[in-house]
Amino acid sequence: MGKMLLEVKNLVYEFHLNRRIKIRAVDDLSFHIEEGEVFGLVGESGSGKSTAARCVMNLYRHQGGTISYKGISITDPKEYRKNKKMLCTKRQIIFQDSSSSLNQRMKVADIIAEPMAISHMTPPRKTFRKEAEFQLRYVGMDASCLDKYPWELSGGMRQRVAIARALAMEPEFLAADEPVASLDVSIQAQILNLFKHLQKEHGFTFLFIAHDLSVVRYLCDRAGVMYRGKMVETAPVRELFDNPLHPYTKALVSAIPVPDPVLERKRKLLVFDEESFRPEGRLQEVDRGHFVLKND
Amino acid sequence: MDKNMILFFGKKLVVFAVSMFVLSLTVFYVARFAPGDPLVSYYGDRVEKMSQEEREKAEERLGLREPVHIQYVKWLENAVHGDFGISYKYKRNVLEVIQGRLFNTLVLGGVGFILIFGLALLLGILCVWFEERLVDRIICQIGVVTSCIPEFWFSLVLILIFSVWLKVFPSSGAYSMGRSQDVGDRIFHLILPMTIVVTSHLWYYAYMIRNKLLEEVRADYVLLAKAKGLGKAEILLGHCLRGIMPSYLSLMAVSVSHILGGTYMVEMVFSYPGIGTLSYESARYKDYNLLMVLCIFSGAIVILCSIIAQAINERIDPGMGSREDGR
Amino acid sequence: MKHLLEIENLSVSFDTSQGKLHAVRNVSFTLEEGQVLAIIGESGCGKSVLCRSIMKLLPPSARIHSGKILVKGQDIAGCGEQEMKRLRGRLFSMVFQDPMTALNPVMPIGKQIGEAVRIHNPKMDRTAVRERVLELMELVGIPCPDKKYKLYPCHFSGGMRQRSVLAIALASDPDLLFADEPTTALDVTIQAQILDLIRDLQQKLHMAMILVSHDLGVVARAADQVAVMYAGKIVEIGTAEEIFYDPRHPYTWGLMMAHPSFAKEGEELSAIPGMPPSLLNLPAGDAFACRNPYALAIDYKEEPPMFRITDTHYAATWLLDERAPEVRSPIGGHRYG
Repeated sequence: MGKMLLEVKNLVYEFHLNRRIKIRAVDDLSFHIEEGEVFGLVGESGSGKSTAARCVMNLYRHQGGTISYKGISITDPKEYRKNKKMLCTKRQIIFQDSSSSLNQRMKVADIIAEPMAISHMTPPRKTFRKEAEFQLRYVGMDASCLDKYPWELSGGMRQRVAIARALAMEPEFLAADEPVASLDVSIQAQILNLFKHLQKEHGFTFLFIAHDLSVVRYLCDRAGVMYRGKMVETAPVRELFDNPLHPYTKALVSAIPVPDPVLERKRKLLVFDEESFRPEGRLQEVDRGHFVLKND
Repeated sequence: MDKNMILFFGKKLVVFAVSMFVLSLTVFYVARFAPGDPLVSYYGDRVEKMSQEEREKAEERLGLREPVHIQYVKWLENAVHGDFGISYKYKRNVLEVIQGRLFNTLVLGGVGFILIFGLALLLGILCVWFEERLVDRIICQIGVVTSCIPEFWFSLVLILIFSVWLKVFPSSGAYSMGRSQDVGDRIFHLILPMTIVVTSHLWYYAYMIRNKLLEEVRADYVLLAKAKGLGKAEILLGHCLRGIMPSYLSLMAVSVSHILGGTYMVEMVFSYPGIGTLSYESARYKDYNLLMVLCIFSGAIVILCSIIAQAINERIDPGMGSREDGR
Repeated sequence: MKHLLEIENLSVSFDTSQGKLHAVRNVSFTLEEGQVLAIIGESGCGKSVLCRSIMKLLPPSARIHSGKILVKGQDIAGCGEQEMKRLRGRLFSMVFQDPMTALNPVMPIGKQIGEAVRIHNPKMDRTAVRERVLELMELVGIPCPDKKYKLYPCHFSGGMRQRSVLAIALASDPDLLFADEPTTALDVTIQAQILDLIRDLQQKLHMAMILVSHDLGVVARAADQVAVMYAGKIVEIGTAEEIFYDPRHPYTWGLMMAHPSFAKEGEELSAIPGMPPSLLNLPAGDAFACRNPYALAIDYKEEPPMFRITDTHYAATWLLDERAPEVRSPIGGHRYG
């Protein structure tokens, strides 16, 4: 077992719609990520996966539970402040919609260089511009894009710029919130290859959020399945897909489309009965590293 | 009426009461501390000949010698009982003074308001129907020009043309001498001021409605409605208009103050005997009681309208109601 | 026999400030009654524009400048808005990608479906319309329709909204249903349910369907015929089996190999290098040439014609020319036997 990088324990986050109605987006969520692994978080929209990622990145203020990163409790304001610089540079996030997460009025070079300038980093390649160019090349784009605006780029290129911006800080942990959901298959493959490369060659750790299970199956080492703010099952990816235990996971796995007409038409769908879902209970280990939510 | 409704209106009432209180307090203090002599409006030129003693006596009688906060408390006490004091200038109960003029303003402002919003909706629909075609462009051009003309100047130009040169319309007043009951005569007097009120505000709202409607027309559901086989008129009037209704209604409610302000201005240019001219006079001559009532009256209308706008928005938008999952 | 839909050399372009954008170029295909044709391709390749140009739902800047659209033997390419209004709904209907925006948010669901019913049966009285709406809601699997009748779209989940859109589309028994990415915006578990529902209804009501999707899985599940589009052109067309088990065009290979489920354990995905070309100024020759690892010299000079492989299977690549060198498909053959 590798070294623990991130540990989330009993995380709670609620959205307040108004004074009376609140929605528990993340409910008693626990998981951990080891150094150098890609941890996938899957679930339907509104299941709280993005919220969880934002809590992990300190973008949302958690309302219960603890999160520790490299043994530093980032949910403790004091400790967070003390390590703020390290936490802000070593952890980076990439969002799904790169057309709105990149400032449309900034040039690509400035977008990539901005975080470095803010954290007073001395760019290893002399100037910020050189550094931006380097990062851009690294994600497979050329220097001609440096002076372009995000709206001049296609979706795949914008996503690369977002990745380059994150990489410029030389992070060790990347949270990717549906980074390929809005991309075409061919572009998606390019981005996934890049992620895989980063993990293999540079030992990056990923929190990878997706709703496309075939992507998770390809990229992730371990994955957790969320349903209504709860983690219902976590396991190594192969185990999770070959031997799903929770009824929701079973339904989810049965819904993965296969690009093969004969197989696809034979595939039987399992329907998860939402009424039967009982949020109480806790994760129990059934096999090595395979946890399932059980109601006792 | 269920409990929620009572709670809802109760809350709005509290908001209204609090804002009225704050408003009256502010106006009261600002009026007292502004330079000027309230005695002038009561005694006229005689004030200049008054001895110090007489002056003090007069101020005492009008209740102006006490500290301002005590004056306010007294005023508030009386006001709650419906007594707003007398006007220094007209030496009559302020409510009586206002009564006659209120009607004039309501006619000018109210009819103007209805005209503005009726026409604005019409123009908005017209523009969207002929989007980016000649009609739309012409309306937009004319609209921009008219909305840029200062209303004060425009009023004077209209007076010059229609009253001085052509002698078609009267330049001032709400009715000819001794004909206050004559509806035709009143309408005749209204035409010029109404024209100014409407033209100066119309385009502003028509443009907002046009943009809202254009946004609506671009929505996906319009495509679906087209795919259903609906015609352009059915889509525009049946679907899109419904979509902008909440914003249209709240725009109406919010704009009351805007149009009311415009009406006051026009009243002054045309010496139209309404609340606007009265407010101006009362502020100028330090007619405290009158000023208070007028401010509170105007303020009450504005606050009431914005509360109504809010209530409309909360009621009309189905998304704001209780959520029930359709699964 | 007349085909239900026959498209001949259809070209559609948009007038933009930068010039003419060729969204659909020279597209031809036929569709029989009760068949499902899937159009697959990357975003911006013209699949949605193709659908919308058949229904004439394009913005005013678009222009069909050549080609024929034959519906049951009758050319509708030149039809005016009045004529189209009559045809829409009755002849063809549409299901959109995003059910969140496709419904009018300020109109109750029942009323929106009712509108579609009434428009083609103006004489129907209110109770009959209501009956029909409830029947439609039942048909598309909305539980307790009489309770849902008065609710607004915001009270519905994504899946239920898509069902409502489907009910609207089916209101007047169309012969042809356009489904433009009908499952893309939905959750994974709902996706398959909706797709199966559409497929079931399509068979039950004997409609033809044009399914636009970028998801190979969706296409594999529902399509009888598959057309692969690239840069406004159909580059390969055939039955689902032919396309999935014996693809011939390098772009089809690329699309399939890029899919994560084709990747072998621990291996890189084989991505198609580069980006799709801008449709504003297309390069000479084959638009795919610069991304095509199998490109031949002629690909840069001349656009390949459609080569016939079988009676149902055609592909536009010079690799099928008899003079071309033999290239083995990197996937080819039946994968799972």
